[in-house]
This record gives sequence, structure tokens and C-alpha cells, in this order.
Amino acid sequence: MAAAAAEATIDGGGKMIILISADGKRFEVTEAVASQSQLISNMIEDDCTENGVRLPNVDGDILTMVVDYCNMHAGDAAADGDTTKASSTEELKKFDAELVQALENPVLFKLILAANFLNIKSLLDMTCQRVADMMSGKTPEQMRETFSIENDFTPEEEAAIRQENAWAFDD
Amino acid sequence: MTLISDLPPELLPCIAGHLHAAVDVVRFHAVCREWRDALRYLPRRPSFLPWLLAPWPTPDDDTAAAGGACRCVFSRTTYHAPGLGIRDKRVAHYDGGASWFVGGLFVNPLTGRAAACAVDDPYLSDWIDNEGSRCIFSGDGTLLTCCFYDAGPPLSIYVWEKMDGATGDHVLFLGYPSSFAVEAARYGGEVPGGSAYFVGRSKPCRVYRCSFEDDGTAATLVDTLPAGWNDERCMWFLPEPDIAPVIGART
Repeated sequence: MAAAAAEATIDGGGKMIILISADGKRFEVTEAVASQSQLISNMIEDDCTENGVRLPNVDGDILTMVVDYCNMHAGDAAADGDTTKASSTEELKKFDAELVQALENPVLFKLILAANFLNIKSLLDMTCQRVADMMSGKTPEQMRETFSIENDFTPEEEAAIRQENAWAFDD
Repeated sequence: MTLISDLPPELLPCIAGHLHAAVDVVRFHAVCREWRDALRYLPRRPSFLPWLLAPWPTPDDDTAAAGGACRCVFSRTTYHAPGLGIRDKRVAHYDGGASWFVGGLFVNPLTGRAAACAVDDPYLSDWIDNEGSRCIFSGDGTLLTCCFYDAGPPLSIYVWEKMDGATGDHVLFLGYPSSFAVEAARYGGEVPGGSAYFVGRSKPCRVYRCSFEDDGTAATLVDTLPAGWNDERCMWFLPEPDIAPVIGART
């Protein structure tokens, strides 16, 4: 997986933390990587990461993405002087774009849930931006199709909504 | 199968907060009740990208194309809003808002809603002049000044001569009769800070973006305006659509 145990000793000398996904997959990451999650950062402060951090809301495949993301972005939060590991802004942009572009809707929403639960603001921002990009330029009907949403307005309500900003509904 | 409806309600405003084109925001809140409701939880009113109001058509223009039209240059879409016809009575507000002055009242051009006139701070700019110097009064009270002149054809060598004020965080919309500045952060990265948008004269006119950071030597083409937009004296304004919460309970 993304973080092999063998890397544990070479990785900047920081303390290692084990993250355990809902389906029991284990990920070993440095404190610097893990603390990008505000949730885990708080746990580190409270000294309750000794026996690994169980994340019952996050599946292994999603946690893989989250760990990859945090590994990639670790340089943002903590400049530890290791320039060979620091990713350039260009690389990061490319990595981020590729991460979210390829995702199917259900995976994207799971990633949003994980980012929200783990409280990783930059990842949450990026994934929410991706959803917003998918909405941009669509009519309400197209948005409903894209996101499997039922129109639960009454015909009168919908007419009133369209009337309110008729310019936006010249389909 | 995880759907968007599985997200906790507090995340919906997070997503909606990334929409900045007025049309996208209006349509988002027209999808279903829950999405309409998300309006209430938005930390603040959405920051809408400005629209460009078509110049008053001249007789030789394609008046059908330009008449009564607004343009979102970011989505390259033209809209026809009600009440845009009374072109000679338009009022540009210092904060980027716009009204039409009708019967002693300020009328919101998008909604037709009228409000009593309060005397605004006068806008200070009139950027179509030969000197090229002008002041821009930004919505947050900062006074920004710049000098802007045409170094000759082609258009790509418009040059920024001097900027005072915290322009790096701002994006300027330079137009006629008013100009204004908006904090770029309000658009969440969609529009680069330290830049200015302006209309260049051609047939039809084109909208360019100029960045202060690269010495103002390069202008990027943003949008070629539709046929009939032949006068560069177009007015930028921030659209303020009404989006009311749905009245009545779920049945």
C-alpha cells in the first residue's frame, strides 16, 4: 500500500502513526503527514494514537487516496528541509487535478465524507470545488440527472422559482 | 452507492459556496427543497461574478444582438434581464452594484425591485480618457489608483504604470461609467488577484485581463463579445438576483 512499514525508519525520523480503515487496512504515516487531518492532529495532542487510529467511517480504498494526498501535501504544512521530498507547486496542482478528475460520483462523495470526517480542509475544499465544477453550466434538470436528485417542488413552487429569475431559465 | 444526498446538510453550502456565476447559483437553488434550503446556511451571500452591460446600441450596430443584454464573460453567456431597456438612467454604485433610476427610485435591473434613493458615494472614475489616469473606489473603502495607457497596437501591450493600494488581493473591473475592485478571495481562486478586466475596442469588442504581477505587459483575451457589442463603453456590475426561501411547508 501507499506507506510500507519499511519506510518507517527513514521518513524524517518523526513519530509514526498507524491509521486503520473500516475494513481493517493499516497505513503507517508520519505525524507530519497525519496531522493534516485536524481530527488526528487533535488526537496526537491528546496522546491517544498509541494503538493506531481506527477510522470506522473510511474504507481502505478511500483512505489510500487520503493518505496519498496527505503524503503529497505534507510539505505544505511542515517544511522539514528535505528538499528532495518537497513537491513543487506544479506537481501538486497536477496531482490534485488527476486525483479528483478521474473519480466517479460515488467515490467523489465518499472522499468528501472522509475529508469532512478527518477534517482536512484543503481536501474538502478541492473535492467540493470538483462537485461545483460539475454543476456549473447545467440547468436544474441536468443537475438532477447528474446527481440523482428528485424534484420535490410542487409545480406552483417551481413556476414561482423560475419566475423569480426568468433570465436564468431561458433553456 | 454514495449519493450527494448522503452528504451531511452542512456540506451542501460548502459546495454551493464554490459557485460564483449568478446563473449557477440561481439554478442550484432551483433543483430541490434541500438545495433551496442550503441558502439559509451559507456563511454569507454568494459573491457573484460581475456582468457586463451592453453599450447603448448605435444605429449601425446589430441592435438585436446587443439590445438589453448582459454578458457573463467568464461563462461566455449572454442574458436578457427585464428592465434593462432604460439605458440612459443607469446608475453605477461604488461597490459594484447597479440600479436603474426610474421615477425617483433605484430599481434593481434583475428583479425590478425598487428602493428609495440613498445618496451613494460618488464613483470617482471615468476611465475612457486620453490621459489614462483614474481612480478606483473599491467596495471595502480602500481607494485604489492606477494609471493605464495604451502603448499602441496591438492591444496586448496595454501597460500598467502605477498602482497604489492593496491591489494584489483585488481584482479590478474597469469600465464605463464606473470601475470597482473586488477581493479576489471572494471568488475562491476562480479569478486571479492582482489583475484587471477591461474591454478593448474592436468590432466586436473584446474583454482582456491584465495582471499586475507580470509587469502589466501582457493582456489575456477573456472573451470576444457577441456581434453588436461594438462600443467599449460597457458597464460592469455585480448582479444581485433574488433567491427567496420557498414559501410553504412540505406536504
